[in-house]
Amino acid sequence: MSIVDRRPQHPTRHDRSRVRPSDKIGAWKTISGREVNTANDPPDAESLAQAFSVIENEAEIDVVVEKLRDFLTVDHVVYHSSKLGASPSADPYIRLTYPASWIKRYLQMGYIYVDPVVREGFQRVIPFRWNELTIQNATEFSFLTDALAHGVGPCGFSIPVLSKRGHRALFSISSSRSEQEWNDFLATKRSMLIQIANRLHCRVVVEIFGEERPHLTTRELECLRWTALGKATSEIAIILNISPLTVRDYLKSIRYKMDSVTSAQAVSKAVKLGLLIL
Amino acid sequence: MNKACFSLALIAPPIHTVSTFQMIVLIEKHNAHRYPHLLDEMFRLRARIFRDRLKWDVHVAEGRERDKYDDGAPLYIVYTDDEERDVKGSLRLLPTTGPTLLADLFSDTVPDAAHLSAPTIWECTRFCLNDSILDEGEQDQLFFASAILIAALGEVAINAGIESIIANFDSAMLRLYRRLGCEVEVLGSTSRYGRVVYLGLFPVSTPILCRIKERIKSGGASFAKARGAADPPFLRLAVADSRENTLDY
Repeated sequence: MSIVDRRPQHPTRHDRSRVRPSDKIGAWKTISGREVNTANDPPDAESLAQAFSVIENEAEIDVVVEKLRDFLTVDHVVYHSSKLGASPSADPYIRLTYPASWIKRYLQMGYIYVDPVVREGFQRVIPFRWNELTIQNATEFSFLTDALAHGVGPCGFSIPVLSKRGHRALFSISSSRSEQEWNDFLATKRSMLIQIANRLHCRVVVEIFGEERPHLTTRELECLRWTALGKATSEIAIILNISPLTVRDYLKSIRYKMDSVTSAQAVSKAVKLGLLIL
Repeated sequence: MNKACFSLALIAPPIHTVSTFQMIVLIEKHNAHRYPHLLDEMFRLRARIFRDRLKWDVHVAEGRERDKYDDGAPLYIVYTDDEERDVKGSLRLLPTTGPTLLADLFSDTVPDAAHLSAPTIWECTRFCLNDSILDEGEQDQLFFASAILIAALGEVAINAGIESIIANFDSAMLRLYRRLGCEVEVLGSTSRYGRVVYLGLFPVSTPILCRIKERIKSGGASFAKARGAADPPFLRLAVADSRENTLDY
């Protein structure tokens, strides 16, 4: 017996003059049976959803960073955080994909006090490439050479991340690509990397540091409600008397607070948490 | 910061009698030690503008205005000259994923704006221009200086993956932003000590940035004429990156 896919034929699928939300990739139905507009979702939503799923569902963060490394096609991934207010070398929480030989060397040499990525990274707020670092002395230079000998670098990119109570972390990736290849890679992946870095930080902050998630504002819930009811951005803008770009930003905020990739996912979570009743 | 990110290009052809170099410096905590004078000037300027002029309730010690958000390692964008002497204008950026001034200060009065939080939405506060520019009262100069600072902000934002900026400002600045071509949406307002403060959301995009740069170009010529230069001055924007190289564009 063969199983044949028999999807119901929607009559409107033949009417291309009318684009329905379901014609867009990634649209899915909410609990109420209506379709949620995907126009405000990130362009790489499907891909991002895979990464978020890893971050959310893997039991151990060790495994998360390994899977992210493979997903991102980089050599290494490092997540480095410290308890609130502490310096990055005091009481650190680190999960990384570095080989044991490099970790051993790093600890033996006390490299955490030398590593310019750590020194600068915890004092920066904008993402940066490792070739933007200022190498202060020969010791730092030797460190970088040593790192490269152990398969770290020469290209790298670090994203400083924060939480509402001020927990800082640095999400770093490294690769042996050429500088040009690295620049091209970052140009396409940067916005996804920023989302991944923040999502991972959110998980750690809740799990390890016990921070609560921020709350949703009235406006955010209003935007989410209208989205759940199948309204397009332009319609929501008219209903709430704000610009479509502002609608977009409220949805961004709600997706971030709800750890969601798409608006539909945020709706689903909000309904489950009782924040939204449709 | 990416070297290629600043492309506020030549505004006038290189036939000049007077050349003025404008410089944008990006200061974070890791390179702050290289700009002690500029930072000091910035905090002093902030005291003169926010306490003395605008009469906002800010904390000033020894002539310098600082708050706890300055301790949170923000990014400062400082508009100065090539000798890094005067602060012509400055602003402060923080991500809304972390502690922000607007979240704390406007939580009750404009909660929807105050609690916007996402990795690509950043807060800009303490945006100010030098009081000498304000005193001279020349609208062209004010317009030009604001445009430079805002264009720099736009460039930084685009390069850092920032998609929206939320800021607080008064009605004078709101008019200026609109004239400059920033698409600002006012999310709410509140009144403090008899003055209206708005919270607004600015989308960041290349078309908007290009529009602002166009206004700098067309404003640059009239700005030059106002200063009485025979030819338009050769205005070149240079950016100092963390490696201390001055880059000309």
